[in-house]
Amino acid sequence: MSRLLQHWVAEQARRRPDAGALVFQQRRLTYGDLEVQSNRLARLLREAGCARGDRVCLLSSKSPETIVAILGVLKADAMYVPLDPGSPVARAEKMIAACDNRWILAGGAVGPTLAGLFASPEFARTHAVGWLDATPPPRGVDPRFSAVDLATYSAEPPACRNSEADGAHILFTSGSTGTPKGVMITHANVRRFIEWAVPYFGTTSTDRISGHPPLHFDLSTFDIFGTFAAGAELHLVPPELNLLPHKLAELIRRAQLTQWFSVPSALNYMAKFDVVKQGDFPSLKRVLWCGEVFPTPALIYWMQRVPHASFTNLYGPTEATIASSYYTVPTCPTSEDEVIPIGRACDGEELLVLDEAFRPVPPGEVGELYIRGAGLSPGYWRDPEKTQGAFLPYPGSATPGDRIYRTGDLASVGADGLVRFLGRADSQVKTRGYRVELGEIETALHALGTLRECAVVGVATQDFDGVAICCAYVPLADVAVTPASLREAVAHALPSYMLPSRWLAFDELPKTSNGKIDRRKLKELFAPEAVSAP
Amino acid sequence: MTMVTDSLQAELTTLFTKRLGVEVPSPDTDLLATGRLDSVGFVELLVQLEKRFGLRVELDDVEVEHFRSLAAIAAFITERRAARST
Repeated sequence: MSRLLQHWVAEQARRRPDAGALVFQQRRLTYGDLEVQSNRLARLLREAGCARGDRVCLLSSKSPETIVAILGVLKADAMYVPLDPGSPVARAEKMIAACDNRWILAGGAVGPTLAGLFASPEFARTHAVGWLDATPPPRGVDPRFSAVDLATYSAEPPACRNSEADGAHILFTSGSTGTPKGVMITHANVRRFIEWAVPYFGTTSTDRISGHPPLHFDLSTFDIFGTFAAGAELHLVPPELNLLPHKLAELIRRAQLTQWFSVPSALNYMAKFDVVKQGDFPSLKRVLWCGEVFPTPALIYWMQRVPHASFTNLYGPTEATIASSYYTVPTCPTSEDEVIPIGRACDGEELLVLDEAFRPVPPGEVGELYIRGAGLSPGYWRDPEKTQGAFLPYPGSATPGDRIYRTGDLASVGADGLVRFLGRADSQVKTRGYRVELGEIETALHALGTLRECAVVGVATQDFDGVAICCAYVPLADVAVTPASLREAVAHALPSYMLPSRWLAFDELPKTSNGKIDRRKLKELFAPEAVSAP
Repeated sequence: MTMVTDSLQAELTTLFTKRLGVEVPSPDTDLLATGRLDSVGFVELLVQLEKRFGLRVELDDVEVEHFRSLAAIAAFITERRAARST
């Protein structure tokens, strides 16, 4: 029998139905609750015509209902596609169109986005909504079913036909040409990481695990399925707490979390506001981060105050599923300049640092980082061209399907065998853990029709958000624009984390001798804390 | 709504536009749900509240709801000023 992601929940529900599986604010769901509710949803979806391999989009706030929906979709042999609930309508529409699907499961504070999508008669004709919450659906949306209908369906698990090689979910990441790319991840992809991580971290049923990243973020699949595989308890962190660092710390304390996993910016934010006390979080056993570089000064802050926890850097792009390498920091760094390695490959993975001819570079030299192994996605959803560009045959291998993924990251391997990340080979930046293609922002700005020229560059900052997105622009003649008006206009096309935070107006953008926009010069101009508005 | 709150809200609207580069359509716009105020903006906002309103915010006194909208921030400033003058 295939071992699918939902089977971990089924197994816990059989052995320990009353054990806590999920906590969110004042609510607590047991493994029994999760199993029964997701079985019902799967049966309903099947009856509504959802077929094996169908894509079901989730436009839903982080909540227990959304976790149930994830399991329900998997049990219906379909793939879930978690969309950013804060996504502008235009961007959500692009992702939904790419999925070529019918069903959207929605819930929480998504009213304006949902109503915006269904304002198009064509969209309304070809799509149907299932409303996950007990509260009434937003105005202007007529759901095909809602939460109250679930009770009439059997609580028994439906028969599944999927195998481990089938898709479990599609995650969208920023695309340089302006269209987000859908990364398809299989059940087997997620399993190989969880089956390495649970024994490595020693996760058990007594663990209380944070669910900090948003659900459209690939790190969240580790929180969810890592918890369920160990029969532990997942504590979803309400997204609004991200505004207030002391509230994040309070949640770790009050819920007695044993594991915290987030992008570095959340840890850095708590350090910046100094909300961690000496010897704080006595229950906390491990702190994990992934998505970008965790500045060493903030790591030292954490390791000094929480000396009883272990600290692990995980590394890996969405295309290679959650993480491909790890490095558990052995002792608190003595210097703020110390570079924390991305470490060694997780079981079943291989990290290769290669030159342009795909030969391994000698120790200490810079090359491009490639990943080979069981975590590699089959590719971008219905985009063979982009898939072929990023997933290459393993040099010299005659085995079909033996592939490597080109990360676009620059790296070196030390004499100690540890891999170190050195930056990007292209114009992708990381901001608060999000991968952002600067080209997608430029495309959206050009589409406004108010600018003659624009260029977007990323500038490293000393602050907790990592990279500041900076926009240099030249307005069209006779057009009055301000940074605030540009930001407001482009916010209809881009999510908030992609909006530039620094702006400079020019009469003409600086050019290099061969007539290209001089991005190096622009970075210098933005490097001091350039004003965000006149 | 008092005149004081009105003018405070207008000042906050200007602060968001000029300093944070964010347009806020109305005093009741949900800044958090619409992504208009995030952690980066929050840090800048605290700096500006101290600079312009002489309000030094102690993190321990702060709830998420105080920053939900411009109206909520205005009410928070008014309340803190009153607490200080008594």
